[in-house]
Amino acid sequence: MFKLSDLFILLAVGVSFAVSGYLWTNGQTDQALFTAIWVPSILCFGIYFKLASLVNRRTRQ
Amino acid sequence: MANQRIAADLGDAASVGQLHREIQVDLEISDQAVHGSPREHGVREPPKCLKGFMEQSLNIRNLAGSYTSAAIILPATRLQPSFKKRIQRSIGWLGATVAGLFFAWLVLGALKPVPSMFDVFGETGIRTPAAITIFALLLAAIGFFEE
Repeated sequence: MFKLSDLFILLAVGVSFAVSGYLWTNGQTDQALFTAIWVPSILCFGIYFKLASLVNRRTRQ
Repeated sequence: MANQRIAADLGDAASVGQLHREIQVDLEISDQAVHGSPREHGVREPPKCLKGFMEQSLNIRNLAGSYTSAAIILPATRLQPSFKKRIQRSIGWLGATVAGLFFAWLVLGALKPVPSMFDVFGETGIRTPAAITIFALLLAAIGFFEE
């Protein structure tokens, strides 16, 4: 189910993606690449917490 | 089993608002947990013989997908937000506020009513406000995280 925390994770991904695109189109390619690698990191962060929640819930059953 | 699951969910829910959300259980509720007939959701005072307890109505979905209204009796203290939950929620609000302020600054700066974020941090420093915004959003995600 889509929750508020998921919304914030996706917002963070969107912001970093937009900043990366902005930097790339302004010729600052190194900085753009640096910002772009935040995107998968944030997604992994979100997946980790989701997974931890599922494991925790299963353990309590 | 189902009782334990519900009790665990309610224990972590820690706020009346969260208790109102639908709780999915994979087993039928036993007679011990079910109390009374279907009624409106919400918390209300139980009979006087159960002083210090509150009655919480739930809308429960089983594996078949059908819904059952039920109510369980909980100690009133279980319905109060725990200290950990309050701190976590405060962190969430802090993160959301910081992220919102930085986003508002970005928009207002672009429209020129206030100095632009890029002017203050420098054009090459766009990573700095972006990093602060993203960090704040992640804080908010942690703060509003619900199991």
